[in-house]
Amino acid sequence: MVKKAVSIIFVFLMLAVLCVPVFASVGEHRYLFDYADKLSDDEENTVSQMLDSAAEERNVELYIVTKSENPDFSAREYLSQFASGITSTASGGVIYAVFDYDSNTFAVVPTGNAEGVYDSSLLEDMISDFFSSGEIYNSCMTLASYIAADDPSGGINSIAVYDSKEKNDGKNDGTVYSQNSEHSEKTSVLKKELIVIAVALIGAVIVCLILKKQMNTAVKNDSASEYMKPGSLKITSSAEMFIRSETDKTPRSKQNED
Amino acid sequence: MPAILDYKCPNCGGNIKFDPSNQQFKCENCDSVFTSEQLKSYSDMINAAEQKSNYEFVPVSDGAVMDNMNGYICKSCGAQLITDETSSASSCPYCGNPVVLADRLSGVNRPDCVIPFKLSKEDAKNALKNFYKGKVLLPSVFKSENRIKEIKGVYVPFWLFDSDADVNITFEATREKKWSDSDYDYTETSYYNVLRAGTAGYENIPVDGSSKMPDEYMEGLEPYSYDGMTGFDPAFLSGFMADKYDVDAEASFPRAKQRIENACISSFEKTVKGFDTVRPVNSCIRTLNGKYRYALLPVWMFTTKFAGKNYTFAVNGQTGKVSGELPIDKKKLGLIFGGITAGIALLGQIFVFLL
Repeated sequence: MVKKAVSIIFVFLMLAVLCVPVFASVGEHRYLFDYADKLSDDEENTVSQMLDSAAEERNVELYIVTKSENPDFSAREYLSQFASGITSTASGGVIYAVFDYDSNTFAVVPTGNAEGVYDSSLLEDMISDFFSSGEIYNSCMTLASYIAADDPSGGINSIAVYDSKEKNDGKNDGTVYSQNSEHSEKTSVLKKELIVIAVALIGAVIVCLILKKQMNTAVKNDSASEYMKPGSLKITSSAEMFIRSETDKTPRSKQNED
Repeated sequence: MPAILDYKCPNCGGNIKFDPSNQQFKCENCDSVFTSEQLKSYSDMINAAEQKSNYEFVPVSDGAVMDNMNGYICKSCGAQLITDETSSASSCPYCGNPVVLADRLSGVNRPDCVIPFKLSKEDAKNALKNFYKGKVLLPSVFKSENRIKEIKGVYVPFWLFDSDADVNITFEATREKKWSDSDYDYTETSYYNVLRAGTAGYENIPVDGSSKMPDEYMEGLEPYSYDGMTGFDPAFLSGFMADKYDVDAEASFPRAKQRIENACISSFEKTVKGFDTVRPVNSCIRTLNGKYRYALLPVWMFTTKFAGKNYTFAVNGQTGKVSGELPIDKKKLGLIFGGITAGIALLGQIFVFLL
């Protein structure tokens, strides 16, 4: 009975450990606020992932807000009000983007450490065409992918310019084109969890093999090293001959330089 | 020499057995203690008086000897002892009189040396109990529920080989050099052939000469301390069982040779320094100046029963080292595996989130 209870508790413990990353992901920070309801669910998910990536990889938080029922506030006024409610510890700073569908204007404002790195007018220029033609998804993705890219100071030619294919039942299937292709590798939460579980399993296997080995001491002794006469080992000749050399080279990723 | 040797107390005529705790011969009846020389001179005196005794070797039935079995008459109680052809010391199952079968220990069968028992039966039992300690996977009830069915002090026949080795080995060794520039990481691996030639000497490599004793159990008992080895005297066998060899030196030598070869490769590999990896690719090892001795080494054999299964353990009768296989509690193994996995995974999660 006691053993059964212990086994059940143990199984729940294992499940709890494996579920921690799920809970963590549920509580993850929100960067997209589509109050104007301009994005479909899939588009929201895609944009949110890109904003998470930017925060994770570049330590820059980009908040995107769409509004349509606050005509008393301009885009910049709304942005100031919105920013006052945000507490951020991102070392790269915070960028706020507000798309105001009441006045059909938008504003993009870098703050904190992002102010010296990102140019507000450059960012606005990047997306003005998209916004004018009502492509809010493309606007969001262009901004988000630009922030998440490697070299934010490279100018227009080095940004990821986002262009979506035609909408189909509210779903956008987009393709990212990059003119300077230096994309940093993104490690997903799932990949990190798999690595943790693999390390845990390997550790457990090693420990169990050691404990199992202790249980059997009836093993053959394949060596006679302990029966060597003291001082009897004599080297009468030795030689070392160089045979060949092989050189491997692997390209360095930009991340290594960071 | 008479076919059966049994040693009697000069004082009371009781049975004499070798006492491992004080390395002398003790009477079970009156506790008198004798040295080997005292017993021998008394035994010689008795044997001289009994020169005309009947030869004790008798056929088991109708004058025929059973295959691989021989019969002896116990001099103490007259009971008939049946032993297999390799036993050279035993005890009468009726009166407990220890007997040493001298004809099995003479001529070519006479051992050159013996390591007498140093551990008593109680010491061996304690060594076995200590062996159980700290074994996490051992079923909890094993210590309390396992029952020792049989304990035997046995002198196991061994061949002790001395040999020199003439060695020629070729190793493949590598050196790595790493560097980087702005675009690439470079690794240069240089391969070398390393030749080593030399000699090494080995002595007293034990190979058990009994097919009844599993090799892994006997090798698991090593090493013996040969400082305690002495010239053979049948009196040491009194009170214990002993077997004579049924695997001769020629058949045992290949095992010794294999161990010598493995030892040479590992010793010479250690002389190859300054490389990142070393592995042997070719070896020519000749054994020279070989000698061997026939020795009897002491082993306590335990047979225990647990959960309907028999378990055998061997205890080195000189050092107390235990050789055997303990049962594994599979549920404990599963719990430990799962617990360690959960623990490491939890630590890993914390580490990932902190990063």
